[in-house]
Amino acid sequence: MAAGADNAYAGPAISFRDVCFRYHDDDQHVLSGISFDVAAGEHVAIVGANGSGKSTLAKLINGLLVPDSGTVTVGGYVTNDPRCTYRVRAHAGLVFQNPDDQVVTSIVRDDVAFGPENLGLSPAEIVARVEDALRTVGMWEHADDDVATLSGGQRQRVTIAGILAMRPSVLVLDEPGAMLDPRGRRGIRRVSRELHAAGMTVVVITQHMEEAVLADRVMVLDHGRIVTIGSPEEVFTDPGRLRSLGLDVPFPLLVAEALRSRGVDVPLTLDEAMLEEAICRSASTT
Amino acid sequence: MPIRFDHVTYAYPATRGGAQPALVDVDLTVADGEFLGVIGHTGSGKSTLIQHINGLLLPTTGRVTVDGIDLADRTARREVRRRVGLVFQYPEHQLFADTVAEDVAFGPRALGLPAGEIEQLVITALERVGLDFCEVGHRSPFELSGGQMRRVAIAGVLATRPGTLVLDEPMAGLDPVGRGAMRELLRTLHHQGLTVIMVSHDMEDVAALADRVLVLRNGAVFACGTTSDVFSHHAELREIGLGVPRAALFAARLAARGVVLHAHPLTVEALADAIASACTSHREVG
Repeated sequence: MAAGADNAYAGPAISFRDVCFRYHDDDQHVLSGISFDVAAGEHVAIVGANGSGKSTLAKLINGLLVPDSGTVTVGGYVTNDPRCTYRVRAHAGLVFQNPDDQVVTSIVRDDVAFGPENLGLSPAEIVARVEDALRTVGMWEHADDDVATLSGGQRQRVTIAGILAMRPSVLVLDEPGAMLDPRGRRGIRRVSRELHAAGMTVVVITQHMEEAVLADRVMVLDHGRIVTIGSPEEVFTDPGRLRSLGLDVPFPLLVAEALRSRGVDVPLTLDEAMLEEAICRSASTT
Repeated sequence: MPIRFDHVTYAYPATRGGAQPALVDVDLTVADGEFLGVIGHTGSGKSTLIQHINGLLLPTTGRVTVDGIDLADRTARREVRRRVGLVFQYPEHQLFADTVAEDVAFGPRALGLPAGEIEQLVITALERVGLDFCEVGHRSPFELSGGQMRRVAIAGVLATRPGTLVLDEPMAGLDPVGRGAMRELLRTLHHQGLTVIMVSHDMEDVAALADRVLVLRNGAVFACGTTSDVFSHHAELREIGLGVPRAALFAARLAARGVVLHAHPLTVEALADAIASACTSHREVG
C-alpha cells in the first residue's frame, strides 16, 4: 500500500504514471502512455473528440477500471491494489453522464443515503450527511419527492448529492450536462464551481469549451494520448489546431479569428471583455 | 403545399380531463421549402408537436393538415407518412438490418415498390447524406462511427422521398466535427428544396440554419417569427429559460458600449462582418 494511507498524505490528489488500457486483449489501446498529476483542490477539464478515451480515463480515476500497465493513484492509494479498492472509491466519486444509470431507489433522500449506508455509518451521521449533500446541490426541499417526478437536471443533482454524501475528496464528472438543456447545464456547472471553491478536487470531462475554459488546467486527449495539458489560455490559442483535434473553438477566439481575417486587428483571446475592449478601440473615431 | 396546425390541442390519454394538455391551441403554418426551428424548454411540447406532423399523434381538438390532407383520415394518413419523414432523437438506435443497404431499403420496401426502383432509391438516399453505396452499402451499420450511423438512419427516411424532413435534436451526442457535418448536411438538403422542421436546444444551430423559429412554452406558442426577430427578444427568451445565440448577445454588449452594428448578427460570421464594417466606416469618417 502506498504512503498515502494516512491523513497526512500531501501528494497529488490524482496521479497517472504511464497508464495504458484496452478493453480486450486483441483490441487497440484506448489509452496509452498517460501521465499526469492533479493537485489537491485543482479543477481540471478533460476534452477530446468522441472516441478519444475521455470516459475511459474517468473510470480509471475511481478504480472502476484498472490500467493494463502503469499505475493510477488516488489520494496515495493505488487503484489496482485490491486492498485499496474501497478507499479509492471513497476518495474519488464518479458522476456518470446519464443520471438514470445511477439512481437506485425512488425517494430522493433514500437514494442519497444509499452510499453512506454502505459505508456502515451511524443512522444519525447518515441523516446529517444526506441533508448536507442535498443542501449543497440545492435539492433539500425535494428530499421526500419521487425521483421519477424530477427534471433531468434535478436528477443529475441528486446523483451528485449521492456521491457527495460519501464525502469524497475528488469529484469526477463525466459530461455532466450532456443529457440536459442549457438551464440544467448551468445548474450543474454552478454546483461544481461551488464544490471546487469549497476545496474539492474537481475533474470534469466535457465537450463544452465554455465549461473547459473555467478550469485551472485543460487536458486534451486525442486517440488515447495526451496532446496538451496546460492553462486554458495556453491550450486555446490556435483555432486551427483545436479544429484538427475535433474540438469546438471557444466563442471569443472564433470572433477574434473572424475579425482578423477581415483586417480588424484584435488579439486572439479567450477573454470576452478584452475582445470587447479591443473592438471598441478599433471602432472609435478618436 | 403547406403543413397546417389549426388550433391544435392535445392531451395525453393519461392526463385527459386533468392536468395541463401537452399542446394548447397551437396555430401554425409551415410553407413549402421553409426551414423552421422549434425551440422550448424541456417539457414545452416540442416532441408532442412533431409527432402530430405525420399523424403519430392525433389532435384532441383542432386539425392538422399536410398538403391539404387531414391527418384524422386514416387512409390518407398513409400517404402523408410517405411525404413527411420523421427522424427521432438518436435515430441510429433504430438501425436493425445486417447491412446499410438493407436498412435504408426498409422504407421503400414497406411501400411495396419494385426491387429495381428500390435499389436506385437506396443509392440516391445514401448519396444525399454523403455516403457511397459501393463503399458502405454491404457493411453492417454497426461497424460505422456514430455520426455515420446517424446518416444511415437519415438516408432511411429520405429513401421514401419525403418533401418534408422533421428532425428531433439531430445534433445530440455528436462531437464538434460531427455537428459541423450534420449542419452542412441539413443545409444542403434544405437547399435541394426539402421543407425542414428541426427541434433543437442549441440556439447556435437554430441561428445557423433556420429561416423561422417557433418558441413553445407549456405547450402553447410563445413566439413565432423570423429567426432574427425571435432572437432579438433576449429578455423574454431568458425569462422562459432559453438562450440566444452568442453573437447576438455580444452585439448587444457592444451596443451598450456605443458600438452599434447595422445588422442583427446571429452567427459569428455575420457578427464579424458587421463589426468589420463598423470599424471601416469609422476609419473612413475619421
